[in-house]
Amino acid sequence: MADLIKQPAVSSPAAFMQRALDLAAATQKSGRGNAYGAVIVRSDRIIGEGANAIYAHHDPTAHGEVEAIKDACRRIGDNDLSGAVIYTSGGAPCPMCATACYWANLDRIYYAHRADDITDGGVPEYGKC
Amino acid sequence: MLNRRSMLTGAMAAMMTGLLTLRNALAQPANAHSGFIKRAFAMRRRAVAEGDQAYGAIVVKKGRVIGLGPSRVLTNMDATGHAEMEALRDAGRTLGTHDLSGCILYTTSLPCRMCETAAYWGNIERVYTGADITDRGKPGYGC
Repeated sequence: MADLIKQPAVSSPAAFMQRALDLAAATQKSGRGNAYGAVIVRSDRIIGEGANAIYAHHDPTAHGEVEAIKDACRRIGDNDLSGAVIYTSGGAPCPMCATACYWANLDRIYYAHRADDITDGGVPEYGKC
Repeated sequence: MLNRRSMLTGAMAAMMTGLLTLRNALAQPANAHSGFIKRAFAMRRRAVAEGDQAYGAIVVKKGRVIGLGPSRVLTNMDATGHAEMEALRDAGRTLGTHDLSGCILYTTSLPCRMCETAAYWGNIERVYTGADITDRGKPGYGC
């Protein structure tokens, strides 16, 4: 994804989460993956986004969160995403994704089924899932 | 004379038997696991040579290496590019499916939570780690 990321008109947690939910709906509709999407946000800007693509990429690790982290790392050219947070659709991230957030040094995890009802998943910790 | 000849024949027979035994021993495939874990350590060396973290992993299906994973965290600038993740991704590309049922993961170190859960999602059958080829069993979900 070398394309520019479309930023929401208004930078708000609900807007970021809505983008994650939209990515989830789109990937399911296209058959690329299961209905999960995520965005990485730093300084009120989306710096990476991803959706589950396990079928499209033939990749068991291609959950929405992992894809979003990979995208953000690629775009900023760094494996360290300190100062950024993740908004991810659905329930709490699985242990693979939660630990990926930890390795990427994300500041915080937010997850939700609806943009207006966001759960603060706290600081990613190793082995806390 | 007869006695000497029979002794000689006996010695030659013994030598032949010894050679055959040696040949059979060499013809035996080396312990399959040790060969595969060596490939994982070769991936570790490749990662180090390329300036990455010292981890390597491979995925094997039915005795065939189908996924190679040197660590690519630094070289690809990917926080999720651990050796095991890379090997699983490569295996998925090789097989054309995210389902790696029946596959074995060989890795140079104990997988972290991310990698073990990734192996779980990939339906990996068994994980072997380290130079001593520790059998870690089926990968688990969670902590």
